Formats: sequence, C-alpha cells, structure tokens
Amino acid sequence: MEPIFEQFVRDLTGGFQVPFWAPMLVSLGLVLAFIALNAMFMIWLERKICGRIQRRMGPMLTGPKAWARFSMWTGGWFQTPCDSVKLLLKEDIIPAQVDRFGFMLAPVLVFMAALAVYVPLPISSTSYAQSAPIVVAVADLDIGLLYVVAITTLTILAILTAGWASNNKYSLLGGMRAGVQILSYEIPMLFALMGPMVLAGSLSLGDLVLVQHAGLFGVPLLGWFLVPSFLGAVVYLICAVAETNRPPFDMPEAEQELVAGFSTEYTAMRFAMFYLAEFSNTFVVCMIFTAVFLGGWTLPGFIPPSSLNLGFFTLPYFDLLAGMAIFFAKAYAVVLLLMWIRWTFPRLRPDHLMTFGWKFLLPLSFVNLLVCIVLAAIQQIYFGGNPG
Amino acid sequence: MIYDPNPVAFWLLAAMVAGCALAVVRARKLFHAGLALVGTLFAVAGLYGLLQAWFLAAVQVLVYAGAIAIMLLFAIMLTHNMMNPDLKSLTTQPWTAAALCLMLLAILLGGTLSSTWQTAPDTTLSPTWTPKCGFQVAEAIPSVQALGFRLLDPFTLPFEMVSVLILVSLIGALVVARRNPALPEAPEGREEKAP
Repeated sequence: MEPIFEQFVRDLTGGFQVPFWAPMLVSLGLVLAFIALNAMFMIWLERKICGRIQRRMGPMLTGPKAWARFSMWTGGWFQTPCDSVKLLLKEDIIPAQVDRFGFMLAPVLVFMAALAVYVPLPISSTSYAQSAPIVVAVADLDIGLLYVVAITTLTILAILTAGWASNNKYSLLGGMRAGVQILSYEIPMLFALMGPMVLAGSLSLGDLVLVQHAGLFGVPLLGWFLVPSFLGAVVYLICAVAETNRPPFDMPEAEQELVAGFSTEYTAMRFAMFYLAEFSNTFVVCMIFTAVFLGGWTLPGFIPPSSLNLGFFTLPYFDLLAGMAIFFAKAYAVVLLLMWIRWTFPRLRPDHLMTFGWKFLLPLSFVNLLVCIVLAAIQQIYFGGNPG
Repeated sequence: MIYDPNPVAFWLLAAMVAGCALAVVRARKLFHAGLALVGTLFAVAGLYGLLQAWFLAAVQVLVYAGAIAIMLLFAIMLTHNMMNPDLKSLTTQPWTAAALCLMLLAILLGGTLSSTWQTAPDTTLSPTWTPKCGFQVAEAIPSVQALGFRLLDPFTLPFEMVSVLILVSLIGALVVARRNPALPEAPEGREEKAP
C-alpha cells in the first residue's frame, strides 16, 4: 500500500512527499468504507438469493418503482441503506442488570477483529512506475495467514464477553456455543491452510498468490491450490462457514432455541456492529479462500499491461484495476456459494457439530497436509526448487 | 542498518501491559480480571511486533490471548456463583505472597540487568546516534523460513522434547479426567446444591 500510495500522490501533485502516517490513515478509511458498503450490498444480495431459493422476491418496495418492475434483481436497492439509517437512529438501550463494561466492550472488540483482519489480504498487484511488481495490500505481512487465524480468536473473545455480560441465560448459552464452535473449527482450518503453506513455502498471502500463478509441475492451472490441495479447500470452506456462525452452523444464535443467542440484549448500533462484523468476516473468509486456493488476482497465462492506451487517454495502473476486478469476481463467486449453502442445508445439532469437526474434518485436513507435502517434495526434486 | 522502535508505540504498549496487569489483580469481578489478562497478553504481543518478531507476536496472540485465555474465561463462566461481585478473591497469606513476589522481582531484575543483550552491533552506530527507546534492534528480520530451518537443524532436540512434553501433559490430563471404574457412576441429572 505504502509505495503505491506514495507514488500515486507524487504523480498527482508533482513530487509531494506524504508523511509516514498518511498511508495508514488512508488504508484505514478505505477499509472502513469498504466494510460498510460491501456489507450493505451483501445483505441485500443475501436477502435476494434467499428469496429466489424460497420462491419469493425479497425486498422490492424501497427504491425506484421502475427498477422493481424491470426484474426482481433490480428491486429493493435502497432496503439496506434504509435499515442502516434505522439502526443509527434507534435508541441505544443498555439493560439495567447487565455488566456495563463487558456489554460495551464486546461490540467494539468484535468490530476491531473484523477490521484488523483486512491488513494482510492482497487484492491485486501492480508494476506501474515500480521497478518490480508490488502486491497491493494494506501490508503484505511475512506471517499473513498466521496473523489472520490469530486475529480471528479475538472474535471468540468478543462473543464470549457479549454472552456473559448480557446477564441472560440465552445470551450465555449462545456465547458458549459460539466459543466452543469457533475454537474447535479453528484447528482443522489451520491444518487445512497448512497444505498451501507447504506448497508455497511461505505464510505471506501475496507469495501464495504469486506461487499459484507460477504453477505446479510447470502447469499453470494445476498451480491453483484448489487442485493439489482439494481436500484442504473443502475443509477450509466448511470451517469458514462454521467460524462465521453462518447457517448451517448457526447454533450460537439459533432463533428457535435461543431467541438470538449472544446478541439477544443488543439493540441499535451495538447490534449493528455484530451484524456488520459477521458479514465482513464472511467476505474475509471468501477473500482468503480466493487468495489461497483460487489464485487470487491472477488468471492462468494472463498478465495485464501496467497501463492501457485507450487512444485519447492512457489509463495508468491498469494491472491493478484488472487484478482487483478478477479478485472480487472470484471472491463474490465464493460468497454466492456460501449463500447457496446457507439457504439449502438445515441446522446441525451441537453434538453433531463437535463429532463432525473433531472426528471427520481434522483427520481429513491431516490427509490433505500429507498429500501437499508429497507434491511439494516432487516439485522440489523433479521441477527444481521450492516454488516459493 | 539499525531499526529503532517508535518510542511512542513502545511506551503506549508498556503502559498497557502494566495497566492491564494491575487490573488483573485489582478487578472486582473475576471475568473482568480474565479480560484484563487478555489485554496484557495482547500488549506483550504488540511489544514483540515492535521488535519485529512477527512470528512470535502472532503465536502469542494465537496461543495465549486466543486459546489459553479463552479456556480460562470458559472456566470462569462455568463456575458457579462467579457473577457475584461480592465474591472475595481470598488472600490468606498476604505477607508470604508479598515476600515471594519481591523475591521474584529481585531475581528477574538481577537477571535482566546483569546479562549482556545482543542488540545491534556498535560498529554500525554513528557516535551521535542514541536510541530513542533505550534499546535498538538489528535490522536482520527473523523470517519465518529462517526460524523453520533453525528448528529443524541446530535445535531439533529441544523442539522434539517440547512436543514430547505436550504429549505427556495431554496423557496426564486424560488420566486425571478419566472416570475411575472402581467407583459407582454418578447418577445423571443431579446437580450440586449451591452453597
């Protein structure tokens, strides 16, 4: 982010050197805006897809009437902005018997975790006005994948705090269920991600994408870790659904049993924080899936030029824009898959969930790791060097 | 090349470590103490990050602030009557505790002050340059790859011993938690009466 932002400002203003804190503030603003807008769009999409699967139309009444008459996919555009305004204006209630400190801390913590996890996610790369291609991320950390998994544990903490501080049996049960669920599914998830780590020989998400673009055994498409680490991809996707508490793993807020689980006592903006974080986390796991298993911002055998000549105007940073388009297209494909899963499968029972996670997914992720180690060894011996 | 940690960040993190540690001891509700413990562990991870030990920082968050602290909070939440703020965390022997703590402090301080720390080599420093934090770090960033190779080559034995230690503790926990077959099974559904 830093070198690109500095270069961009220098080009724009003719040599202005930005202070060191400017890239941080700009990335923070960009990520915040992205979380809010993207969550709004995802909520609208979720309701539309839910409607389509259940043979109804979803929100249709807010927004221009002409659009709604055109098709169900263009109606109800203004539903989520309206809902957001409603949530902003609602009275913020703190029940008398709650533990005030924990009650107020939990939404902040959950949002903090959702925000911090965006740091190492690479969305594109550019070689415009740079000596070598640069990965576009807030900061492409050396330990990217490990960082992502570590930050996710903060979410458990926040949900446990919310459940306990609400001083409500439903909340407590929901919080406990969420804690147990995320904690147990984090282990197969980490082992599922270990396969790609071994294949790439790196923990940095940017490196993972570049290695996939280089290909395995000299074959480009084989390099997408979806192929050599297929079991890992399946295990990761299942664990990702469980980690974000989405159905069919939504025991923490199973409304038929627990009212709304850990968020029962929350209203207005505090509730919106949980909701926003949940959708943001859903998108983040899709982004991680894209970067780790689907080749990130690259397509096999396609390297976009760094600037595009349109005749009357030369578009700079074309490879950045093309990469972003590819990346978000892939990420949204995964989002659609998750939504399809959500509205198709019935909810699991908590004991089934535990058995499934510990006795099925964990051994499966071990098998995947073994396969990946063998493949990485073959690559190293016969095709020269670790791909990473 | 010398990396000089940002002094503002260092003092903020240090204050957070000390403040949260104090809150762990002084909090009236046990759950708050647990949360403060997470804060301490997290700030320590921040200090590791400031020293550019990224892997250590991530593992600190993953293992301590994540797994262990959450187990601790689970235990607190499941313990009967823990919500009661009147519950005193009993200190029956304050003077013994104080003496032990002072001894620990003396040992740690003695160890810290008497050992020679490997920091950036002096030859690279300009004579007018003074570290802003009181310490400086060589720029040789320990990458994850380097760490992995070290674990597999010179430090294989300690690494394997640690895994054996974890295995032993795991088996120990299983033995302790296993029901004694000689004893009659506790009837289902009978709860302990609240004291």
